[in-house]
Amino acid sequence: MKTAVIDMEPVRLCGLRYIMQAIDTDMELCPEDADATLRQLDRYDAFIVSAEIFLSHSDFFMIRRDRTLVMTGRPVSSPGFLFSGADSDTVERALAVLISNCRTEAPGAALSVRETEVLRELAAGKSNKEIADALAISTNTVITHRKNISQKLGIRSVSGLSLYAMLNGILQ
Amino acid sequence: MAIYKKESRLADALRHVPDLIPVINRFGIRLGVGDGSIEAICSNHGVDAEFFLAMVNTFVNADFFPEQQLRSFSVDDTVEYLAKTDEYYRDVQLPNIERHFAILRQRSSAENESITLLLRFFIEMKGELLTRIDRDATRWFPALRRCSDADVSVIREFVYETSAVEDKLNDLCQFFIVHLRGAYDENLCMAVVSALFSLGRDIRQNDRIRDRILKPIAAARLTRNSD
Repeated sequence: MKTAVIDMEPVRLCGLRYIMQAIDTDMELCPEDADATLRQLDRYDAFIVSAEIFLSHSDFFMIRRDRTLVMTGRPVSSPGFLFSGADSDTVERALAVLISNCRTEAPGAALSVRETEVLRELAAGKSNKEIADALAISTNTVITHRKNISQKLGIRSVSGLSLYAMLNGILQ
Repeated sequence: MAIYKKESRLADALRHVPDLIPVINRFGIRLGVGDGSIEAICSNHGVDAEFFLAMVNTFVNADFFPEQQLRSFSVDDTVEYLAKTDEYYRDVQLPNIERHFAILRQRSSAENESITLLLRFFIEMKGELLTRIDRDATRWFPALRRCSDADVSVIREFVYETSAVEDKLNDLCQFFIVHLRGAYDENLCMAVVSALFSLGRDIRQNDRIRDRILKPIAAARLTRNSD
């Protein structure tokens, strides 16, 4: 999933990159050259932008609102916004929702690397909390991954997911 | 929308939806129904035509579920229908599926471990369903029929029970349709999958009646008892 991150200071960008990698290793942050990125917005699946960029390109972002996270200078409780001073749990939750919105898709789509990791832990009998601890992500992110896995595979029960893991060599 | 009415011919309904055959059997109506209307056939068998139509129409149309009307029927009639449904699953459908499934496994290639694992998954689901059926027969349904003060704790147990059977049945069908691999007997596979889909359809209706009709009625009785 290609995510355009526009107009963010370098230190914040590093922190964001670290958290995004922890949630889903398939995600790719794009170069932070704002002008170059703005000229090629159609190439990206998701967007993390400052409020100023959002407003100046609102025609583009409003119709992609569910795939856009707007960074704000003050705490905002509405979905789709993220305070730039938020703690890492809040950042992780917001990013997990962004990923989930981009992936309400394709039942039948292949599992991502992170989703496969979650499935392996789930099939081994671990609880959401244990999976979160094992993979260094939040429980909410685990729940999001589980929903995506069920949607992609069309399998609802935990024992069904375990069976899938066994059949596909994910669980030995 | 209710598809069938009192004046509809039962034979037409069965031709359009053969899966209805076990449903009419629960009312003591057997094949060889003749040409009569649903109302006439129900009358001949001492069956409440309104209740019969409610069960038939909710079975045939998954989007049709007139809760108010369904809650107006007696608890005894609803419980009796579910009890007959349980008997059908226990005595006919589950053994039939397992028999065909076992033969499917025997005739699949030795390298195809997936059929073995799917059979094991089916047996696990069957066990859960049989446990629920047993509790229906020995605890919950008798308590719902009696509905005395002594039955309060058992009725509460029924109200709060949850089941993963419907999900597991869905998963099993999904495995066959989407994720099956390796060599297997196609005819037998089709027989197993068809039977699983039939069971799934029946259980979905069963669960809707349990969860949206019987449990709320039982919960209301618990509230009245505690007042």
